[in-house]
Amino acid sequence: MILAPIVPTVLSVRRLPNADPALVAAYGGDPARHAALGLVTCDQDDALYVALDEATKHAEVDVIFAKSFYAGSAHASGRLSGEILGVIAAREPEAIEHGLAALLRCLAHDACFYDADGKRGVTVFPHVITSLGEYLSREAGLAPGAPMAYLVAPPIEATIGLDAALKAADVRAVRVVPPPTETNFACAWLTGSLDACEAAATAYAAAVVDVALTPKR
Amino acid sequence: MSRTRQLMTALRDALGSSDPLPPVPAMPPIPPPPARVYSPRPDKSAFAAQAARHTTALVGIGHVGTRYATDVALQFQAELAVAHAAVGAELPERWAEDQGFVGVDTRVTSHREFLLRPDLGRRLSEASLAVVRAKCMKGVDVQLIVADGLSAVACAATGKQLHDAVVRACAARGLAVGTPVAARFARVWLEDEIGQEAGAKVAMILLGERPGLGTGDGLSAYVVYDPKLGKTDGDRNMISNIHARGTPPEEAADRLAALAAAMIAQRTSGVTLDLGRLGEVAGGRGYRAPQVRQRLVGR
Repeated sequence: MILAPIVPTVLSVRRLPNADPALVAAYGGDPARHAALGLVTCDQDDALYVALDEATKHAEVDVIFAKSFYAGSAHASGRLSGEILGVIAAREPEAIEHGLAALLRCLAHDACFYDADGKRGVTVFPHVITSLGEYLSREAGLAPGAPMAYLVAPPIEATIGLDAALKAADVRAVRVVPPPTETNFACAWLTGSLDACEAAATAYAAAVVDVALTPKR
Repeated sequence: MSRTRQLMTALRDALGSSDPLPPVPAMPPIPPPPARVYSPRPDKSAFAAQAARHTTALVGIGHVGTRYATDVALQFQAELAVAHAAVGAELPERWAEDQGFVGVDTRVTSHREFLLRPDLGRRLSEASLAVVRAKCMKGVDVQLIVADGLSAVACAATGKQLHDAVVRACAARGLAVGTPVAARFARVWLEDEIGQEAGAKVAMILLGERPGLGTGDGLSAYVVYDPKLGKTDGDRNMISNIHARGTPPEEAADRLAALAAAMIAQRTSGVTLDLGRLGEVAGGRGYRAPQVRQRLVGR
């Protein structure tokens, strides 16, 4: 089914109510402010990046660690690894609970890859974030609350798609990551008005579907 | 519903793919944040209830997080609306004549000008000056003026009642009261010009006062000895909050008559008037129970 959502699978969710300061520091946190941690692995890295950002909108949490694993979830180091580990940190475990609730809600209902060729041979992540949270706004260098199109697809599809997205609406590229990334996908972050971001994401998905169905032309 | 999923569903339809999508999972219910009331409410705490009995100040109203409780915020808005409505009200054109007063106008021509130009509300128009000269008794002890001031609501409601009470109280003290005058669009200092024209010993203006929160019906009375243009607020004595929940009109009338009598006896008014020689008046100078705050909204 073309463009059917592929809901991400949450492989593990664990809490560390009082993590060792050495661990917090090693994972990029500030031991003075971060005692409680929430750890999530998931089989879709980009969906989790968006979900981690969602968590910062709902709770006083910081995303201290989020990294994709090499070659993606099809080549994971274990059945719980997926293709990403994300870590949120806060002073109190209660904030972690609220953050995780928002994160899991976002993974279940919002952020996901879509099937681009009907056989799950090509997938696309044409996600529109209507309002950036603290984490991705910092990563993107945009103001919190700005809209952003978060676009991911395999190498050639992403290249054709990005061209279509940039031409479809009045958007500008905040970050373009050409292939290969850790998971061998390619990524682009675009910003503009919310309408423009939506138009760009739609054009991106349409172009990826087009390439997936007619790879040689 | 996720915005991105809506977009992709629309794109899918546009691309002509008609297979049914898997059903959308139901959203988990999001529990409302706990509403925490941290400080006591009058009905919850005996201490707050005791404190609230001694003041109209908002004590023991509690708070919800960093904000006021809803009923407190609504009460504030309702009280502010009462005040706005009172300032915006106008005295009917023929009100003075209907109540048996001599009607006079100030130099103000419209309600908006009245609010913007206090100076015009302090002087009589040419026509009204002639009316005062023609109709008012001369050389009286007390010249009474009823006026709308900043609350025509208060004037229309209890202005006549307070005036009649003051006339009775003055008569009881043997003071001669002049022809009753009622003025539209008037400020306090209008009493100087009218009193001067009537040659009165004391001029007294009873007018709607600047509304406070929830009190649009309050009258004030300003009394001045030897009224003439150029008198200042330092030459005046006044009583405010004349309404059922504050100083009742009957009690205020007795005090006003006592004030006028003291002014005539001491031949002065304002800061130089010795209030210690006022004598016994209704209500006295001791403790008075505070006003009762009206609840305009339910809990």
